[in-house]
Amino acid sequence: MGTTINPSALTREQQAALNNLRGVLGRQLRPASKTDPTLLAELILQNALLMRENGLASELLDYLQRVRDKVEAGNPLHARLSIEMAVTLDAIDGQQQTAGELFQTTLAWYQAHSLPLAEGQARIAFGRFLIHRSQLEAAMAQYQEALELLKDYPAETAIAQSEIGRVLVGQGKFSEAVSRFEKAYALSSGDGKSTVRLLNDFAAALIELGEMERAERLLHEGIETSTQQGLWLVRANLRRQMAYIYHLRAEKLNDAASAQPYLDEAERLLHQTIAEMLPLQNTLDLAVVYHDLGRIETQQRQFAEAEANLRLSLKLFQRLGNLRNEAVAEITLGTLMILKNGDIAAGNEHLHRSLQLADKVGDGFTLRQAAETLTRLHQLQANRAKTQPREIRIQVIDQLSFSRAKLVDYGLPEAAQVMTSMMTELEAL
Amino acid sequence: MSHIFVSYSRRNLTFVTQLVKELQQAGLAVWFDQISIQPGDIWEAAIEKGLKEAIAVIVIISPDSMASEYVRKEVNFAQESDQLILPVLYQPAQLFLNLQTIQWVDLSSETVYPANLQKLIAVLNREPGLSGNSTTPPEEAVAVDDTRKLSPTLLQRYLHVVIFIAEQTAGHLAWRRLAGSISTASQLHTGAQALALTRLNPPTVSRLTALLATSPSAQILHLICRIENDVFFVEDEQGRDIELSIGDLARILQRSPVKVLVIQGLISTVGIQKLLEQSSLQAVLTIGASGVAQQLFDEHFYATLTIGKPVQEAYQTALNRVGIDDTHDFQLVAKQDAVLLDYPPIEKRAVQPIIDPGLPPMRNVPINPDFVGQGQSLLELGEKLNDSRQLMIYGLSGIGKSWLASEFISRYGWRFSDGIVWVQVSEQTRAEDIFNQLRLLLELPLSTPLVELENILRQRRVLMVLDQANDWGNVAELSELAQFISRLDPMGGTRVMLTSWESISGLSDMSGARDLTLVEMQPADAETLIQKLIADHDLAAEFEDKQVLRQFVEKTAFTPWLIKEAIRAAQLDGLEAALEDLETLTADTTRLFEHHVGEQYQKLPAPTQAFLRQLQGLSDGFDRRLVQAIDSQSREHLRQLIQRQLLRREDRLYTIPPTVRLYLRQRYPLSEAEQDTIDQQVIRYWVQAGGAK
Repeated sequence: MGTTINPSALTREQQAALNNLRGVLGRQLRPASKTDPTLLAELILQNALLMRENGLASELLDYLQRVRDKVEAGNPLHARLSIEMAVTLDAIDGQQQTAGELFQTTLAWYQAHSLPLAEGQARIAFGRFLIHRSQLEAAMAQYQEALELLKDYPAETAIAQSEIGRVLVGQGKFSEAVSRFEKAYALSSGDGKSTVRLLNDFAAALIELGEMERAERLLHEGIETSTQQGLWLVRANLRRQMAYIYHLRAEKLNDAASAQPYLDEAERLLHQTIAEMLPLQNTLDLAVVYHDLGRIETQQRQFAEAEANLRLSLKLFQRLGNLRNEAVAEITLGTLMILKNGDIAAGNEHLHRSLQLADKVGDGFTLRQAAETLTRLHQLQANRAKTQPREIRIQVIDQLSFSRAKLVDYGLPEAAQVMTSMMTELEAL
Repeated sequence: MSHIFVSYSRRNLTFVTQLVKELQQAGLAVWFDQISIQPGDIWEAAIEKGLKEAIAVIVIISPDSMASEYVRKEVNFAQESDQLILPVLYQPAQLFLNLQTIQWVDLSSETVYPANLQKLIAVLNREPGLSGNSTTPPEEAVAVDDTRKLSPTLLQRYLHVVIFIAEQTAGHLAWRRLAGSISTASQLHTGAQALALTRLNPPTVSRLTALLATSPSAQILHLICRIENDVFFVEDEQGRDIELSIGDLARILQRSPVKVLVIQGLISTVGIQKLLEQSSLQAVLTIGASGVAQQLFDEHFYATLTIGKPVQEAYQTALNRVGIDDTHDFQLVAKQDAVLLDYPPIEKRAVQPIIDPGLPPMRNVPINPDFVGQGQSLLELGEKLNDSRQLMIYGLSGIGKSWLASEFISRYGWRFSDGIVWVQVSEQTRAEDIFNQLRLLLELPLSTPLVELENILRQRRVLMVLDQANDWGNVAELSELAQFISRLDPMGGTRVMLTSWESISGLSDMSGARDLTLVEMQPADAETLIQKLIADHDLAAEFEDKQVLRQFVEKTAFTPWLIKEAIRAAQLDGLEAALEDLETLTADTTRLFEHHVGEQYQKLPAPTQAFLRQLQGLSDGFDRRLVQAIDSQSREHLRQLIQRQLLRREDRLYTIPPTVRLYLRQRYPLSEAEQDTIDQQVIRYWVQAGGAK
């Protein structure tokens, strides 16, 4: 009989394992326990990520503290436990300063002792901590030091190179990022979560550089590896990236007929991504894919399908309370309304909602995009009004005036100025 | 070797040679007689071999090819062998009948040739075995975790089957069986059209009407409900029976996209004719059989439809697979000779089959396939939950509290549109664990403050079930949970359901809390359950004597858990022994479970008893490798414990039932030293294995 897969954040099996672990730790960390503390420390370190990812950071911190108390201060295990404590403190609200201090003191201890592997790993962890605080340059310095320390450890070097690549992507230095990812790729073991993440980020950087074929090959490899590893969400996101490649290829072509097969393939890949995401509890990613699909369908003038998918994506963003994405989806829906049947009123409504949402979350980029689309909408409306009776022109002027006032409120004087010009032109007729 | 076979007329050789060249340039393996037949090969035998080994067959459409007997034979062979057939239009022509339902790729003019060639290559590239990256087997079906996430446009890429289940006694089982059949059907043919199965919840007439009006993709409606004298019994929103006549159903289906109605149950021939005449249906299939035969039939019926065959052929194939000559149990009546379903164009076909149970997102909700009866308790439970934020279900061990809660969810879970969380309470459970489960359900960051979580819950409809709440170990944690529940809006949509065998101080006495005490089943329901289990366990011969059956029913004290156990004992130790066991057990109905567990425990060999006592040292479930670290003979022990129902197994996870754990704790508690030994064995195993996962 066929099986139905329903992967979720944590399987029942993993939950049971976690409960057993908590039971064992609760008993064996009591002061009277005779269990070897180094064994307990290893166990906690091995499972730290699992516990953090499942909302048990405070509980983990307690275990780490208790086991560290049982390990001698000069023991390297003590330092490893301290680094794990710092990482865990970083995940607890209001504990970041303590985390930073613990990183600093432990790294100082490492400097006095020659433990390159452990220190290199600690510096990578500290680099990530600094990234969370947006201290990119300081993080880079940590990663560079880690590279020096880890030169005899290829797998760890690969991790450090990947981290550097990610920082460079964040800074828009794609060529440099690609060269780091290449190094990481050459050293990585070829399996596991970190490799798949590397393939994903590497492909994204290549796409930015227009190296589509290479990016596609990496994505294929990532899809294969994530399937073997059961990393379903990662696999779906890799496929979404692949769809993006096909979409870009289509956009580069001037004539619609040549672009069509690429758009079809992008659409097919997005549909498959959706099917793969449906069993996963990750509404945000799914909503983004529905939005991507709606955009491609709009481009292909498949308006009914586009509207259904864009409305669903909007609904999902609303349910998640994700105002930023909601604002973007409102722009796409507004555009669709105008393209579909020239429904200016509906388009106007969506675009104003987008402005309001983008302003609320302080998303300047989306705010400007919404204003730009609104301007185009009003231009279309004003052009039509030029040949229409005076009463209609007055109505349009009223709408322009309303939009202008809003744009001023949102701090977009240039867009407001365009409205004024259109109003003047109409009033002069 | 795996390749594409090209079926064509020699008169179109120039066009075909060019096409083959381009396909080969795209990296595809093409068998083409002009290049693949070596000097000295016997021409006809070589063609036959080339065709047999092909994965896909491209048929070049032209007046010449459609007049060719060779091409006709090759197409027939490809169809019989379930090979993927891809007609390519070169010149318009009258098609063979078996090509008429298959979407062609138009390469007839220079304008469309380049773009459509890419489409053809894309389709062929997806075919397993034809290119380097497409060796994957047919995709497994995935279960949709939240019905609200499914877009109707997505379903247009599927062969879409809607299932409507209003079967009160065995609805969940029927759903599981059909979902399993569809899942299997999806994997029987390579390159087949993917299936989508969506369950309609709630199973009401208005919901069905609304769905058919808005879902153009639904071509098959699979109906499972009680049928009496051509009247269908469906439900209202509260789960009460509503009658639906043949005429009513025909009206609903009048302007719907549904072409085939599958009815699980029998209706009269007149009724079938009326349905066909008064609706847009093309065929009605009634299934009178149940169990394995029905499942096998469903699998092959749907599998055959996925490869584009007419409904009649799917029906015949399924009948052949079941091996039944008598068609009384499976009757198909159709309006025309070959009813064909609509399929999306090849390049738009979905790959991954999907199964949508029509439910909101759920976390850790157990499945209970054997529920029967207790319909009144279910309705009562629903009503009480409607007007109170907290409901306690009380009852003796084994009376079926968890069964009732899980059945309530499978039947009425749709009422909680934002999701359902099930927490199996243990000594380790902390209030924060439950809050985290809620955060995960609502896809909130785990760092979301409790106050914010409470605010969000006020606007949502969530059901939280705390099963075996009496096992809660920590008073402070319990108090934190009680405070959390007290802050939930009594007028809001979020509800808490708890099961317990006794009242829990701090929770049971909360203001506004309501309760439901579960007692044994009605005798008639108990008998229905027993009959069902007799059939499932193939014990009909043992229960042939009605007197024995009556005796058996009475001795089970109408307790669902005991019924299941006794049936299992009858299968394992024989009916006589099972009756004897029941005799001893029911002497004291207040301590049924304790007696039963004790009996089963005593029947175990001493080393297995010792092994079970050790297992209580683990707080939760475990896999085989973990217990292997505790006892190298664990495989045999596990087998015996499962057989005696002292251990449960779901996939790779073994768990000790709460009542067995309680029995062990009371009778054979572990000493501190014993617990330490087990912990140390487990720690060593985990460290060696690289973690507890």
